[in-house]
Amino acid sequence: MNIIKYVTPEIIFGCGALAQVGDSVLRQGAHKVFVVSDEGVINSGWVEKALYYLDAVGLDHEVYCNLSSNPKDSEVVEGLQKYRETECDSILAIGGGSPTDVAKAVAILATNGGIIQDYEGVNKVTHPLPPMVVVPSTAGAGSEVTQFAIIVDQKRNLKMTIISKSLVPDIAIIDPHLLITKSAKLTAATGIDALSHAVESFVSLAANPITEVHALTSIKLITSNLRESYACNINLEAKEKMAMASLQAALSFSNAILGATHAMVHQVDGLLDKHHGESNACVLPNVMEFNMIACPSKFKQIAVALGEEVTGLSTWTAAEAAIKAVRRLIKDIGLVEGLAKVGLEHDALPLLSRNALNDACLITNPRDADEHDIHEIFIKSM
Amino acid sequence: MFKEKMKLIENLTGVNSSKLNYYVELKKRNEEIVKQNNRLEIINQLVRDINIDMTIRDIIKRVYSKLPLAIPCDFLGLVLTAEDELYIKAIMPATFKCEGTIPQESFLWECFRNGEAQIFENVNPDDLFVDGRTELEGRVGSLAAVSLIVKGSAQGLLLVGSKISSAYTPSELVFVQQLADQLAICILNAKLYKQVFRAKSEWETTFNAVTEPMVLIDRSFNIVRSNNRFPIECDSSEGNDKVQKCYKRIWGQDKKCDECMMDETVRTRKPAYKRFRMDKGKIYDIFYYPVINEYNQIVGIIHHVKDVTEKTKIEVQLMQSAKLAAIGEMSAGVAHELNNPMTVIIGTAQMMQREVYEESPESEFLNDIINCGLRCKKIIQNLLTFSRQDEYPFAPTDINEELERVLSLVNYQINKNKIQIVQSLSPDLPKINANGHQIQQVLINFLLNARDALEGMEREKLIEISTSVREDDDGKKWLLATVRDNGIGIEKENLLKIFNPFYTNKNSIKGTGLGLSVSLGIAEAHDGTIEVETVLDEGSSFSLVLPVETDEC
Repeated sequence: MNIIKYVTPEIIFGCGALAQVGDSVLRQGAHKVFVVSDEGVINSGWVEKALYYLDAVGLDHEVYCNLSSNPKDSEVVEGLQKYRETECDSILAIGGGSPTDVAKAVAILATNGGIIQDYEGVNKVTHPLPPMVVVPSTAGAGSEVTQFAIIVDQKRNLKMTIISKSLVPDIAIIDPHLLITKSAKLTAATGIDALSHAVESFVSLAANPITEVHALTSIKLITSNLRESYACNINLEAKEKMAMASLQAALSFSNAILGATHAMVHQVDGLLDKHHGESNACVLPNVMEFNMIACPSKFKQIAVALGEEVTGLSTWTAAEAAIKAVRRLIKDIGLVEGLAKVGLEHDALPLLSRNALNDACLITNPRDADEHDIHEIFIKSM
Repeated sequence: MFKEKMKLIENLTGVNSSKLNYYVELKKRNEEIVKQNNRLEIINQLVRDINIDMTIRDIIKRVYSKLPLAIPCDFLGLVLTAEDELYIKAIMPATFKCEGTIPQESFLWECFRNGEAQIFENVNPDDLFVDGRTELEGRVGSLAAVSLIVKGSAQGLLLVGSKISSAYTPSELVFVQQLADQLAICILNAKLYKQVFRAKSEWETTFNAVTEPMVLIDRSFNIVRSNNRFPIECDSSEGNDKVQKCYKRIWGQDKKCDECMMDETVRTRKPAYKRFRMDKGKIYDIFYYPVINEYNQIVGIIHHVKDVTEKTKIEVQLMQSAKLAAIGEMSAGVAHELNNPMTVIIGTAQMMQREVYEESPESEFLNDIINCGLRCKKIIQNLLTFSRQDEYPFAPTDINEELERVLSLVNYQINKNKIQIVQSLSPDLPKINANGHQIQQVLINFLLNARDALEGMEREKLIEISTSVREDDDGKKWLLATVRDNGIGIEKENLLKIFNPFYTNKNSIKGTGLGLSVSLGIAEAHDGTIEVETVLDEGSSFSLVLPVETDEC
């Protein structure tokens, strides 16, 4: 690939970075802020704190938090209505992937009109979006830096992927403090999500030297901090490192895109409404196995990043070590092995396999995969 | 396959796209707004330019001249509907010709029915039912068609066409619709204006058709509107256009007329009427009609002046005729009654004369009785003839004879006043076609007037009666019967009035003021006239002038 492109928002990173939220939104020229969040984040008190900073700079605001864990098109409709009714002119998302994706979807409709289904696919957005600032509350989703938004189409029962440069937020404020409040289980799930971002984007057909650096850094940080973060909720250092890992994984996959793991997991999410970190944990090692043949040396680099000793090993053996290391990590942080345990029925697999073929993430998967291949991986992951 | 995949990956990573920028968006929007503003400005200008009395064709012409400033426009058409048909009312450029109504199968009908603004590409001018293809090189590249909505219902279509294809975007279509909406208002206004104007001119024509003065005045006597038919006597030259008081304009007064009935009309809220007699002899009937507005207030008065001089004259003549007829009937009766005793007196006197000697003084007395009796009989006979009720048709009449008869009737009354009568009757007077009794009536009137004019005179009183024939320059012959006196004469300013009914300088016992008025009527009925010459204190001369029909001479 001769020509590469690298997109990123302004990034403000660090403990206490939340204090920047007021000025950041104000600098975008906002008058009234539409704050998108969810019950969990509100209960943890972060929204209240953010509002304090907004008040401090004299910004009017309106909070919308009626969200579930996978953002639905109906929530977008409701959000848009509220955005318009309250005459907001800018958007602040505080939370995980759901509030951020809903915020992005509302932003699209606010200036482009129509329904969110109109924008499914690549570059369907034709007008600039309102100023958008994102404060992630989990380490993993990476939505704060990506040009993606994933919204569940409830009628068709699948996740729509919306891709546009305009979806890259204007400012991402990453405050590791926000990560303290997560449960251990959520820490584990989001951590594996970040790992899958890093791994998949590293081997992606669209990977480039910039994204590869981020991906490998992310894997290293996860290897040496996810267990600690999972183990102790107040290990601030580990949390901060995981936040950085998540951010870098996001920067990587936002520009290099993902692979089969996400193509498949998106389908499961559409069906089960579970945090997709868990499904990721089931699918990722099996996709790595499937993909290894396409780029063993890259997997060897992953193994190194995962802290495996590869000196003297053949490329292939080193690559296999990477898969083993991932499986071990998943096990260590107590995630279930097998989609069946997550709640997936065998009967659903043919349909999911077929749908996965149409997922944009599959395009950049290093190894060509057909419906049969996907189906096989699903079976392995059950 | 490879290329396709690379393409997909490029799309995904966004090599081909960038985050959209608000500056560009803003600039684009601004340009849109500026464009929109320009267009609205043009609509504004157009609306300002369109006068209310312009025809639809002129309006379309004006729009056509301005429209290219806003959007591509090589063709402009206005389609209107009437009686379930669509037809092209106006079209530009002017080299185009309209070709009657638009057939039902035309796309214009469909466009008109569904009422939506539409853009058509590559339209054949034949389908527009206009001829002028040279202008458009055989086709209309793009055509925008929008409905013309007047008072909520579609009244037609506005068509804007361009030589070039794809000339119109939806935003231009919106503009054309806005233009059409404005034009619809203009056209409606023009239509209403025409209706109002027609109604107005109908009323004005009606108003002006009345030949007598009719003015609308306000409560302060100002003339608000008039049909400009003021009495000839009034000086209408000054300040024709200025608001004027009615009393000044119509009656030449400097203040409200004493007889004005405006106040009464306002008080009673009912029409009022009064008859005026002007010094110059004219008689006017004046009507006051209150004009009441929708709030039941009197906002003005219609002042209608009717010249009834002629009418009155005729009425008076009619009255006089009836009176004369009555007198005639009476005098016929009296004459008849007198005739019998007179016959007895004469007969008895004649019988007595036979009994006496001729030379005896008694014979002389009886002779006097008989002669006077015979004269009485003759007078009675004349009176009977004059007063006979029969309709006397026009017949060849000897005016001299009629004069003799008249003299026999009035001789005594004139002689009683010690007036000398001099006759100089033309012996070869032609007979004329006339009503002898009416002629007598005129001559009696002349004679009695002459007698009255001589009353109280110190000098020798003289009445000269003459008849003659006069020939005009153009050969027409007139017969004149003239009665001249050397009485007091008539003052110049009264000369015009003497023929007016009821004008008299005599006291009310003696005169009715009708004599000359009726006489003139008779003269005119004979296609003749009455000529008057007078010198104050020296006398007057009245001539009955009657035409002589040359055929009979």
